[in-house]
Amino acid sequence: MTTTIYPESGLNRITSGFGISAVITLVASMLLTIMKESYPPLLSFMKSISILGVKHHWLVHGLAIVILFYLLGWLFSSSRRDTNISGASLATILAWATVLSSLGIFGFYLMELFK
Amino acid sequence: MKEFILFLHPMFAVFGVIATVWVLVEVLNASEKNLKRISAASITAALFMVLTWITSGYWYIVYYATDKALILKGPWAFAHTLVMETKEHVFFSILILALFLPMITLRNNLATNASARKLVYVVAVLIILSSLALEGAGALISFAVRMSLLGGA
Repeated sequence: MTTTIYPESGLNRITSGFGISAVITLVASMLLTIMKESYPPLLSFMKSISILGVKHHWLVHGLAIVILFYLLGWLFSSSRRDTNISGASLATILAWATVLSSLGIFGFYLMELFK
Repeated sequence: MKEFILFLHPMFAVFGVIATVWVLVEVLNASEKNLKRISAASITAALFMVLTWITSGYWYIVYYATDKALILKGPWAFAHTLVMETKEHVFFSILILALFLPMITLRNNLATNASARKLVYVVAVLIILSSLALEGAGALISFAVRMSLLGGA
């Protein structure tokens, strides 16, 4: 009697959840960058937050992004709804999110340079 | 000591890139025999990117202000206003991707799951290319300090 092993398709729920979280987080990071540079009260607020005795907007930005990634990842992974997204689809969306968010940040500072 | 701290962050980043290339090569040849190595490599990559974050953050917050002032007074002010500003924010994308990578490798059987393998390929390539771009940006920023000190000569 032979046993057929079927190759797995689709992603584990945690992978899907955190993958979607990564996409959202990358875009959020870009938006936060633009917002804090464009809206001085937000930048001042981020500079005023002390983390382990250090006050710096970049530190706050980084921690906020990492926390957002894990929080959204946990939420999406825990959801009862099946995401059923393929690795190829998630990879495509993630690649676009990475490229567009990076270009968005670069483009913003390029525009600031020529102001 | 200050220069040692400066050199740590690109060093850790390069180690992170090497670990990510290791992941990529292992996954291209994924089988039941190398699943543990894939997991180890992806965790290593993530750890090195976190170390890069910590050391670069320390340098940036404690020491960069002096270099920033020099760059802004010199002929390559764009090295801060465009390149450094972009670098410090694009880095977060690399960090998130590096933290995501072990979640794919540890949670899926890459020997049998082609879908997960495709995701690893793309995430790994994104980390590698983005990191190399940031390494180049860092070199440009360092050179801008030199340009300022040399008076643009």
